[in-house]
Amino acid sequence: MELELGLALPNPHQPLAGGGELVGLLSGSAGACGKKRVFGDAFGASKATLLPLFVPEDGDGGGGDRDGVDHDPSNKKKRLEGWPPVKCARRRSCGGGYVKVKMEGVAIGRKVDVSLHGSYQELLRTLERMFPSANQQGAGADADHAEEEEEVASHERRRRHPYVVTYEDGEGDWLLVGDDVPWEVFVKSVKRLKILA
Amino acid sequence: MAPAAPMGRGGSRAAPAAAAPPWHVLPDEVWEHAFSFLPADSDRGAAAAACRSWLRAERRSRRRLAVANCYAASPQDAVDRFPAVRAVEVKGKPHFADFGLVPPAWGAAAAPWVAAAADGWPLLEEISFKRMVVTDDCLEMIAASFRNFQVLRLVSCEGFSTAGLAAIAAGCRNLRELDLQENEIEDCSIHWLSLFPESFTSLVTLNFSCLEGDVNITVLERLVTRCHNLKTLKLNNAIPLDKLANLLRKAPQIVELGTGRFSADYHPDLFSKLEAAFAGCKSLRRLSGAWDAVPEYLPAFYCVCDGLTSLNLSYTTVRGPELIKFISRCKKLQLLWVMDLIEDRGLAVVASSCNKLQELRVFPSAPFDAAEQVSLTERGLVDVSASCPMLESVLYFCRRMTNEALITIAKNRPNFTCFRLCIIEPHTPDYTTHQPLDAGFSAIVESCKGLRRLSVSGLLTDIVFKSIGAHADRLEMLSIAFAGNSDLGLHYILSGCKSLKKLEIRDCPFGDKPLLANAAKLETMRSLWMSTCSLTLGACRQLARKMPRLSVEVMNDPRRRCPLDSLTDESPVETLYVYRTIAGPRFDTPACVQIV
Repeated sequence: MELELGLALPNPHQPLAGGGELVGLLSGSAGACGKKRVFGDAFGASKATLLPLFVPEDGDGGGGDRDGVDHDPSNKKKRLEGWPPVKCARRRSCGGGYVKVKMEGVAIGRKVDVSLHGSYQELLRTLERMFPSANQQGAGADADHAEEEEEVASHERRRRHPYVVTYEDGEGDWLLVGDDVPWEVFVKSVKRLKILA
Repeated sequence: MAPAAPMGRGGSRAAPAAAAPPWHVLPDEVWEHAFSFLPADSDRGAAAAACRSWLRAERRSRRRLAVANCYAASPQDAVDRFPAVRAVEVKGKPHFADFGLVPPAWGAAAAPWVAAAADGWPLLEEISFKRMVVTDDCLEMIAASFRNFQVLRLVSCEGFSTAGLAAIAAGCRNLRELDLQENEIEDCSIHWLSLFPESFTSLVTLNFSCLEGDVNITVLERLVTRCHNLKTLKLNNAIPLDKLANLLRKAPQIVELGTGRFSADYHPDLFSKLEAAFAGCKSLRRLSGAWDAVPEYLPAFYCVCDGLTSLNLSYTTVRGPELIKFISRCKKLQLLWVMDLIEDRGLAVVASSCNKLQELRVFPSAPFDAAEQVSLTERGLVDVSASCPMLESVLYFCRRMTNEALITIAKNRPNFTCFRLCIIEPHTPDYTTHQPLDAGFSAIVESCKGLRRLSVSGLLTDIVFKSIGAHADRLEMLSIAFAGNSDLGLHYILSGCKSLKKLEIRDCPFGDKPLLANAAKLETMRSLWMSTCSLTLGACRQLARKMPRLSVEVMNDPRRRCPLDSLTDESPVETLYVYRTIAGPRFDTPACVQIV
């Protein structure tokens, strides 16, 4: 299994251990992964998993827990974002599924490497992080609350204002993300993403 | 300006009778003329600091202005102080924005600069923006505001679309250069190229390599045909090989070519066509392109290899023998950018063939794959530095290094001005001795007295920073990642490095103390970036209080709003960006960025 780094949230299949160090995660070295089994060992080589879409979940402690992954926020600090220092255009050409993401009403688009994610769930989480909703940005007092309360609150907000994520496929058609398309098929066909507010 | 009369031995000089006024009351025009011979901004700045009359003369005659940090001064300050500017360059986001470390909507809007320029510099001819947000409105305003506009250069910018380019094409009658480098351009399917009028023939540089959409090739051909002075043409991926051949036949005078997509199934006819087209380009000196290059086509370039001084193959996935054969024919190369697919054996060939080489960059073909597939090691860099006496600038991504190699490199090439080594896995030690790479990098800074830019990597302790602080007197930019073991490391840098302008640090165990102890140093620098270190909000507050002419920006996770007033001094700071400014705090920060 390849070690994956990039802009994505920690891949629940391959958390990074220790202070930002890369751990060789060749399949078979289950010990390196700590308390959870490497996905490939548990389910075979395929990484595809069809998870229901738009499951209301909070940012950190929700859906991902089905893997038993530790989503302690301090893990996020150990994710090697922006390393090694290669520019985005170069990452695209190195393979990987970099696609543009635009959100309605937001002038500046972003890019996300779809192939670094293992599921629709993960992709959505990354998108939420890239495009915090207006509600999240506007709220004043939430930062004072404990982590948990904030997640409940944000969960509520998201239920009131869900994102609708669409994508353009190889044929130029715009489809709703997750519509009965297996994740791996989606990764190969997605050309760009648009989030409808 | 030396006094006209010579000093006599032993005392007073005989002042010539009458005419020449004492030098310090010469009219401004004389100084302005004198200053026009000072090419470097820093020299002009020094002259301006000498006295009031020089200040006045210099600033009123300044034609070229470079604003290295768009927030260091307001656009209005710039226009008021330098009313005669014809060429302006402005840079925005911090360098680490290139790697996704700067939150979206951070700032660096070009609009206020364009607006101020439109008002105060109607004769402006050149605009260059780097890492800024440029909108279509900006481009429309540029097209409408400057009658003699000639050069537009946008590097690593975003926020605009082909609609903005259409405005430039339609409105800038005297445009000479349209240079778009690595921008994010929204494709609105507007045929912007068609908007260059038929009467328009002044283009010298056209670079649209970063554009992702299609381009009307017929229109492009007509444009290229009528612009007889076209010297630089850099195409995007939408131009197929056979069309490239046609374009080259229309512009045989080309000096710099970016080929765009260089990929097609091999056909002998197409090969001959390309070969003939290249044979006609007798002036071609610089070559680049997003080559999904098919090796069989490379020999079509052989006829230009002799003259090439610059070769950018950093997007080429061609491996081994064909690549090496090609490069070995380019004996006059001064600049080579290549993927690590060249491997050590390829670099050995470069070392023996290209002894005029000045700049080498080797990029990783698989940056996120830990498995070592490519045989590129310290060996390649040692070979090149041993055999290329003019080599002064290096960017090298690899997976292993030794102190011995670095010491050898330092001994061979004391003339390095830029040395950037990126060992891909953090904390990698010398692979033979398992020691930190302190000795190796220390050798580099001790030997290369002219070093202006340095990036360090691998396993490093505070010791290397002691060397850097003590020896790197000319160092202007330093990048540090996953290095050091205590506050001392940062302290050595900030208390040494006399010429330091930009310092960027990520994932190092540096805390509050060295920052506060060296607060005054920060005002002598352009900027400091520290992310994922050990800083607290209290230290940032103290710094801001102590140094009113610094802007202290704190950024945390974009999903958490950080109303700073409610956070305690002990709260950790994820990212700190500090820069000197005469403009006071900015008001365009997004929610996750706060000015302390």
